[in-house]
Amino acid sequence: METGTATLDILNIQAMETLLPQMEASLSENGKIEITCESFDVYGYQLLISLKKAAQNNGVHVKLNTSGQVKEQLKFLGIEF
Amino acid sequence: MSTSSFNAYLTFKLDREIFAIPVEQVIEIIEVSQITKIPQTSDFVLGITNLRGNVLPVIDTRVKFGMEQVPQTIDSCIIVIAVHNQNEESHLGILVDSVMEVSEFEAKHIKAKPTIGRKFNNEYITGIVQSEEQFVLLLNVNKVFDNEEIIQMNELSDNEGEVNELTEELIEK
Amino acid sequence: MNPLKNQLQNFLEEALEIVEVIEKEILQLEVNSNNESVLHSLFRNMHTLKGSGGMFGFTSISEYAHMFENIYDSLRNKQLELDESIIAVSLESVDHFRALLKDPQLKNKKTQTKHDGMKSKLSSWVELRETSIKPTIQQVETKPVHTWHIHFKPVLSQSGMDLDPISVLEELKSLGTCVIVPNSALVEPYNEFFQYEKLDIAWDIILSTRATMDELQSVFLFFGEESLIEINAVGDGDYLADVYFSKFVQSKAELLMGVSAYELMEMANSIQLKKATSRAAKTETERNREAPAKTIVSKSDASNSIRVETQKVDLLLSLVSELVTAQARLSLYSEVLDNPEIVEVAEDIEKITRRLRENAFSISMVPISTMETRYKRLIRDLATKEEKLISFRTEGLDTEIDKSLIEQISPALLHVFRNSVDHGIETPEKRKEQGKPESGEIVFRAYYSGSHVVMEISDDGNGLNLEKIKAKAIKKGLIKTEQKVSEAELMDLLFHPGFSTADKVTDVSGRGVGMDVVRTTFNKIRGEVFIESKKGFGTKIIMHLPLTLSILDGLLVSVGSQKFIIPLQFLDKCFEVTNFKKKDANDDIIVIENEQIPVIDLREIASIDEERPVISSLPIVMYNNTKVGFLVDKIIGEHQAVIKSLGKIFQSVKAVSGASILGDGEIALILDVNKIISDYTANQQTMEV
Repeated sequence: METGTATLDILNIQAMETLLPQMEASLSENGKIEITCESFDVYGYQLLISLKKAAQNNGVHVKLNTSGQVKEQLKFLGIEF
Repeated sequence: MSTSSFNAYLTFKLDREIFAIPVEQVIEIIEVSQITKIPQTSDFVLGITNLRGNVLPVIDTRVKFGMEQVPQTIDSCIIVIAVHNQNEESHLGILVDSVMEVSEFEAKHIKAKPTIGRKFNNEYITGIVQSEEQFVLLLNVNKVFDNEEIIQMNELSDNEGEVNELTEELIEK
Repeated sequence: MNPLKNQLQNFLEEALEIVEVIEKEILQLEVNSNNESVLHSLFRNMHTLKGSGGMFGFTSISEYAHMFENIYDSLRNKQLELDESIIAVSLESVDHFRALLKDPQLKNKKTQTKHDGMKSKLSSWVELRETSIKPTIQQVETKPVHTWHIHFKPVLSQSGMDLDPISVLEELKSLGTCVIVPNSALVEPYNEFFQYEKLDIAWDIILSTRATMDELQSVFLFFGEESLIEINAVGDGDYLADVYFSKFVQSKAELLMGVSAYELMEMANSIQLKKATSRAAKTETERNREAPAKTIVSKSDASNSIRVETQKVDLLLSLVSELVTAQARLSLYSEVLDNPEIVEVAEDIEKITRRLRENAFSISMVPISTMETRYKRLIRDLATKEEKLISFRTEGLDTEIDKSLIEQISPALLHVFRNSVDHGIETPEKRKEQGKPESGEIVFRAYYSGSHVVMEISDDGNGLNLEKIKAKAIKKGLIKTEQKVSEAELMDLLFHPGFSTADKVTDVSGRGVGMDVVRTTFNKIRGEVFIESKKGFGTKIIMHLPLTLSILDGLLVSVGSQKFIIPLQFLDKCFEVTNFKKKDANDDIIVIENEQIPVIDLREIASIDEERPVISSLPIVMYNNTKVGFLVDKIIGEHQAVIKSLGKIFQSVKAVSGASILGDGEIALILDVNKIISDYTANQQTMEV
């Protein structure tokens, strides 16, 4: 869906990256947001939740590149991508 | 509170004096309706009135302050206030000559201690503010209308003489 | 209210109820030690107490309950024989539980000492049991599993030095099974204005663990007061192990919008109900197998009831009272308007209001039997101590009265029971001498009578010794030696403050704070107490009390423009007086039907200036065999008054006990008849002196 990409433009994602050094974000060619992180704190966690919410609302695809361990941890904390 | 040092007060008139009560302690202002006298009470206790199906005690503030009792006028009204005593909140109606307005006084303009020699018991007043040529007395509602004190005065009311003495004591000459 | 405090309050109330049931069951076992169903039920109740005590981290309670439970387990398994000593220690334990519930943390030194003492007392039986069991299985006391709901919304300080909330969540995981439901209600979906440093995330954590409330709270210790941490128990047991429950929680987690404790409790309840019904069915069949011939008669204890805060009931009652007042007003206006349609509506509302009122007042009514165990226990203990044989019989204890009334009169009733055992019933030897059966009997009866409830406590003991009472009254200067006193008057002296007939001060009664306290208690609630006695045949105390404290049947009268209400229960007769005039200030006696009756002028009491009409009315009231007439202008009629308290500042006012708002909004004052009369008699006496 086009609306999703509009709200999450590349600039914001770069801004986000500077705010959260632990994460790396990029917009892939097919409009997907790709997040790469190896660890997170509560702020990072909240951002992921927020992204997930935006994704649910706007049909944006978020892809999370991370280790299995982090994925497990996030799953325990109630979010899966 | 860092926002402002202004506090809101409701001002009312009694004889020639202006008094003020913190708005937080004012519940509502009602017209004077029928007041039922209660036997064996002090003379400043007017009685009770029906406030929407509940019983509200009413105090004659003039008598309480040792002022001359006058017939009620069209401006007379009852301020319903919340009094806090011994961790209890009770509601009380106080009869006043007229209600004026809600004013905001800046904390720094409130003089903490009333000058000695004024008519009223210092305990009853928390401060004085000068507002447009006149002094406004800030009332310590919980002190003026202290339940325990009213009970004591009621107990004494069987022996009228004693009450007058006591009232005189409370009002500094 | 703080939810934790709320829960604690609930727990304490429930625990007290359980202890009461246990006490009742012990007393039942004392009568019939072979009653297995009681034994089983007692065991179960103790088990519940242990569990819920543990849930709140009250180890003192759970530990003691565990020991107690062990004894009853042995009894159940017939490894131990139920005897007097066990009954005695059991009853003592019941008292100890009550003390523990007041001070579960053993803060008071006395409780601590008592606790240690009771534990060692119990342990002698427990050891007996443990040695008797073949290979002593060291039962490790494991704390039961509970499912909790924790709402956690962290607020971090600006310093950035806080513990990461995520690590707390990880810690909870180590305590048991844990599912985390993110609550992102306040988190904006990601957009260009997203403020990452503003922490809006919250969690609802569902945790099944053996940890206690205290332990759970300690996990959150590092989060300041600004953080929101609400811990609520969802239920006993591991609900996350339940497929439906855990599916429900998972589905909530996916929505990221949290889950409330309430939702979970609802869910848990529905699961529990399912379990309970299947368990009940099972025990039913088991029981049938065990005793196929026995029919089950006992009513289900778990009747359809809910627990409601008294505050809510009070509010409901006060609203209903206001409605009654408003409705009376409506009826009044509808009569004035005389519009048939409005009259019809007003009548309908009147009917509905009456039903609503009756219904609402019945909510706060409880059967007198709720106190039965306490009385039974008292009589039992006293009888054992004084080596008397007493059987206790009750009648009509399903009679209901207002709960607040029961609480108020209970100490007075206990006193009357004490008197019956102490002064009434004789020792078996003495009874035998008098040709009475060795065992005495105390009967407690209750029944409705009009708008009143009557309670009678009677014993078949010695009866009152009137000569002794007279002698004592003379000695105390209450009557004069040559004075003629009727039997009734003599008995009434018992209610005089400071009067006590016991020769020696015993442990139980005879401290001089006797029957006068009973009378004062009943007067306070607009009730009355009488005494009947026959020497050698026993004594009966009769107590009248109103069904409820908030409504009063009265006679509405007026003096000038002021209206008063005289409670109907005191009303004797009404007369008219023409041109009432006193000869002098002290002349207040009027002769009616050859009786001299003192007159109290309400005009004087209430200082009313309005002129007296030519014809005045004189309702005569009677209290304590004293008749007094109230001089009023007019009798308006009977009136059902909703009582409003005058408020604290009028507490010293003696003549008036309350107010009632009439249909037209006017206020009528309710006269405190017994205070006015006792004041009057006191004044008379001082004048005589």
